[in-house]
Amino acid sequence: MTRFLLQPPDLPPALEPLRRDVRAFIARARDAGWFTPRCHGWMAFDADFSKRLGAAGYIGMTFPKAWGGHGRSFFERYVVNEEMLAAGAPVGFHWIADRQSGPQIIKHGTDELRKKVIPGIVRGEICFAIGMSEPDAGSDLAGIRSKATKVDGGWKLEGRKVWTTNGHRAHYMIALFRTAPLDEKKRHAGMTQFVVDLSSPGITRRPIRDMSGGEDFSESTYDDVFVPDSHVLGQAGEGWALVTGELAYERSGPERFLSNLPLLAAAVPGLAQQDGDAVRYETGRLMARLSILRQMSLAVAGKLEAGEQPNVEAALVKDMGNALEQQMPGILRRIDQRRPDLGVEGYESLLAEALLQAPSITLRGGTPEILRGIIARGLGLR
Amino acid sequence: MSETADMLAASAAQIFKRGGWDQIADAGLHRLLLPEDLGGAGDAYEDAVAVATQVGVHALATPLLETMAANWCLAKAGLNVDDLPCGLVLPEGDFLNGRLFCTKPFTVPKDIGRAVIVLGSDIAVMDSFSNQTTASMSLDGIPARQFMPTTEGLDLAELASLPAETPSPVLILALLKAAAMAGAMDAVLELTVDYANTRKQFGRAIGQFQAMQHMIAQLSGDVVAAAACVQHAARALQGPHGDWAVAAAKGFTSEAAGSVAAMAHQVHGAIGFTEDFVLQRYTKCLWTWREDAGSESAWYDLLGSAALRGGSAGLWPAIVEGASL
Repeated sequence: MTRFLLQPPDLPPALEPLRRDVRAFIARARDAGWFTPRCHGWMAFDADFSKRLGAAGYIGMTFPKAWGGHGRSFFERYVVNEEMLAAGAPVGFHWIADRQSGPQIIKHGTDELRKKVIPGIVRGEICFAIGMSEPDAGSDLAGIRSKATKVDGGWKLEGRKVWTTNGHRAHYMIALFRTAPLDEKKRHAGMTQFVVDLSSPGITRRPIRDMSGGEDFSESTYDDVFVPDSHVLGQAGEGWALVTGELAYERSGPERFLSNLPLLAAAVPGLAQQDGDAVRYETGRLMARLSILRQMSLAVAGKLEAGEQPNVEAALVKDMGNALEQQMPGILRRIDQRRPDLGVEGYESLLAEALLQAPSITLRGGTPEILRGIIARGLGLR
Repeated sequence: MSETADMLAASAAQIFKRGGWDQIADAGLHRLLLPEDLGGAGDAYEDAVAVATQVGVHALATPLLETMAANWCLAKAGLNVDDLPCGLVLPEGDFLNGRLFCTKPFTVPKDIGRAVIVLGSDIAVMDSFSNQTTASMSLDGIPARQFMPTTEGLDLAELASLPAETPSPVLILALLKAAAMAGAMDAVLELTVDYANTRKQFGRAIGQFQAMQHMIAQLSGDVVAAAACVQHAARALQGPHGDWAVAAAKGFTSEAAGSVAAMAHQVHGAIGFTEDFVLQRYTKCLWTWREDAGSESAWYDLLGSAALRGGSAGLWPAIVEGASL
């Protein structure tokens, strides 16, 4: 059996001044009316707020200074991001670019591409989407049919992407296309990641309205879309390795367990009035799990900082964290009698929003079924 | 884990494999939490957790953890420490005129020299075990005796107080028990993965079935989380809000003990239900230790009360830094 250890790191004391600064920034932002706290802040799209964060130096923190980043540690970035989520700040515009698209381009992109997009990401002006799923390929990503054909100076894209978060309003998409036909014996070979400028001719895109009334998901089609060679990430045909390489960034962060914290915070005054054994037990249980998941997530950040690729550990954090997020509205309704109501400001509308978002938590970024398969293989089940 | 903790864990593992009390005492494991002049390493919670984890990995049926915590109390209170197994009792009741009046029954292991009784910051030593006890046998296989509340109370040998600023002894025992459960769960996971890879049905290893893989993956999440929270609690106990981290660790491991045991038994089928197969030694330990030094009900209650007291604004700081219980 392979053992997976998540050893909570000793956080450097230097993080505390940063945390105080971030909290002060958030308090000012709230007082100035820049945002109203809400759950799932990393889904909340607010270009102005991201520009303000960029100006404060809170985006692209781990990117090297040579490419316009701030050259700071994963833990410093972690502190900024967890404070934002806990406060319910709208960080959805830059979240994906800061978390994985920027790092992916710094790691695998050409210099030309780095110069073109990294400074804009850091300023909070460039939004990224990740184009993986297609109508017939979701969890089984090797089934994608969208394809890229080599032409002079670049590639021509044909196909369709769906369920892409922010795809209809992002500036760029890191999109996975087939550059060689599917080989049933090597299903993951022959795919390539492209950085697609979404303003290119030949792209049609539209938002998909979800059951909560939100428009985060999108569908886009690619008809003879040209992408220059300088926008290929890594080697053509090696896209699968690049996809798996960004999973640990994607799956282990605080957005995998903190999304509903603003709901719990709004519930507390009412719960304190009610009190009772079940109220205390469930509140304590949620707090214990949140505290522990945070330590586990920090431990993955420590592994990323050390240059490891903790994919299985990240899958564990996402699976446990998502389960907790998803269960929270149900737990609260067992101990608090207030009804979900989108029209009543405060706890009632937060509960309603959390309920409506709950199904999406475990269908994005790897379902529990996929995650548990990864964990099982990691443990040595064969 | 630090290098010292790694080395301690390795030598504890060797001792627990052969192990009687004499070997444990020769190695000084029961004195680990004491100051250096008494044969320990100070309040070395991380080292103690490394040893306690091995207690779980080997399903050790010896009251070593109680002895470690009891000796820590004795030393803090300036009382004499010896090398015999010792009980640690956290009863409900009062000390009055040199006697203990408890309101609920309590048990101590049978083969001990003394037991340390803790009531708040007062401690007492009990060294004569009168015959007003009934035999008790907890599921982890340690013979014990049970004391019932009586009107005349129980005789105490020594009374003392813990100095101010000393962490509550229940935190020490809770941390050690949580670590032991993390160790036992790790052993259970290893057994379960091995069994799922070995046992064949329908022409293939049962571990190839997705239903099994997903159950074992969930089990492993609890095991990894248990080790992580124990490790964090050991470090946090050196700081201002260690009680929060210990409460989270003992609450979580106690809760997870039940689900881990249930899933492991399900994977093992009938063989896991037999006395000959080793799984039951671990699951019995888990079912016992989750009740020691406070179950998840007790610890979640404390965490919940603290969170509700702290209000909306206190919620997030409590998750980051902990809060006073």
